[in-house]
Amino acid sequence: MKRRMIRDGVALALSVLFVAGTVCDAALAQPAPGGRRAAGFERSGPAARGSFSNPRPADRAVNRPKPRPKAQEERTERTEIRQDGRTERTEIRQEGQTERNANRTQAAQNIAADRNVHHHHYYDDDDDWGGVAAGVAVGAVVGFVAGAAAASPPVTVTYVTVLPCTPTVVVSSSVSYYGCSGTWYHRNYIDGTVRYVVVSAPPGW
Amino acid sequence: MTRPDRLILCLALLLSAGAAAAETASPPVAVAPPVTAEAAPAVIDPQALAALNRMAETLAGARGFNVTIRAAYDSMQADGRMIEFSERRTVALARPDRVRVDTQESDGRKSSASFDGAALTVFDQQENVYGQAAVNGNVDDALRYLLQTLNARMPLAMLLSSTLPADLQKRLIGLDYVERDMLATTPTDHLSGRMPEVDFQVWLPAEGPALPSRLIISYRDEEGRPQYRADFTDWALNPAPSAAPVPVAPPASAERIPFIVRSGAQENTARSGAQENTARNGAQGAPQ
Repeated sequence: MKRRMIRDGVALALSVLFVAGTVCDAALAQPAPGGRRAAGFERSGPAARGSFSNPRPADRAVNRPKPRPKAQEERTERTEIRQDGRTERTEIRQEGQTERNANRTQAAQNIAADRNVHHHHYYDDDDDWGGVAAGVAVGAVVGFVAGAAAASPPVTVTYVTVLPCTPTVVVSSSVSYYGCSGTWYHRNYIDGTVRYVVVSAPPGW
Repeated sequence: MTRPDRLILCLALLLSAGAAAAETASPPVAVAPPVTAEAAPAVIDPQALAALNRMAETLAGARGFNVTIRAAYDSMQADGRMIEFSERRTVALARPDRVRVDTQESDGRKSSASFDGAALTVFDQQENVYGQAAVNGNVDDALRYLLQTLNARMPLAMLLSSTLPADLQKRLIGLDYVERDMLATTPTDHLSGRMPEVDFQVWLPAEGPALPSRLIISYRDEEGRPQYRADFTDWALNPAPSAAPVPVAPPASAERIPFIVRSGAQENTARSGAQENTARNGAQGAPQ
């Protein structure tokens, strides 16, 4: 009788653990909007470009992603970028803000911890038909919006490829804002792919 | 000396003599240095070059073409695994200034890119967003802008360029004729080429229009030597003007989003007239 009670107790405990685990997995999983790609697998790399050239960024010894640098190191590596004349709309925050952004995006960075911040060194060849090896999943890049005035002041943009939560979506002036734990994002094309760039909160938030 | 002793002595002498002879006959073994692209002699097989040039001139000289590309590529993961992803691209090109490429990735994501002579448009169906930039010029200019300024993916873009023969000639440092592949639908010439940063193989029909049926690019300097492998089907050379590519028309519900360009891109691509024009005219990268 006692043995049977123990066996039943163990079975019940295992069932509870299984259900709890399933619920937790479902709660933690945050698929990319619209995508069904498995988390953690990197689709990019030199071969993904399908190019007849393979310019190698100076800081990329091998293709394998490197451990993500600490926030301070990351900041020192960021290159200057020019601010878009239309950043009033995107309200991209500048240098001081990016420090806070680096912290805010830590959750997303943990999700994609196996990914890396690359820095792009453009192939100095007008006949390059391959562009530059990308592969950035989380990082601070950037530049200016296409067509912006070249004299715009520098700005740094922080972005993530996958939102770290199920976002609050707010549409303001025909632009979608995605909110996650107080951090707001806009969608932008970076390296030909839709990325979530950290921006100021939408009006009224 | 007993008989067994004599036998042992003989064996010992034979072994010693054999070792000495081997030592004398075998000079020190020189380890050949690995053959690298730089060290390898530039060998270009004339028959292979003729076939490759025929392909380049056919593609570059065409008024336009349509083709479907089923491709796969390797991606090295952080844990050292090499994972293959694939995609299908349908390409419609009408020179001088029309092109459209529709892509479906192996995870189901769909996207499109087009150029209509004035605007370059990219559309992400899953995200329901699009970007648009004004580009003055022809297809070559639009592709350069897409690749070098926007840093977007467009595998095998060089095959769409009108300067393909010169581009190949500029890069080619070795080319061999591998074999005539008799397992293909029609006899196919299999070539192996080498460029400064990549190796490639291409399969071209031995007869008829020199349109590639298969192409493999190997990134030999990368860890794991990843490849991009493409199979070409549904070739249509010089299709009727009525079949010209239709520009991408995002649905009304799609949101227009900006292209963010890395600062180094414009510096290095500013030499392109099209891109300078684009900058002056103001690419319409920002939302409405």
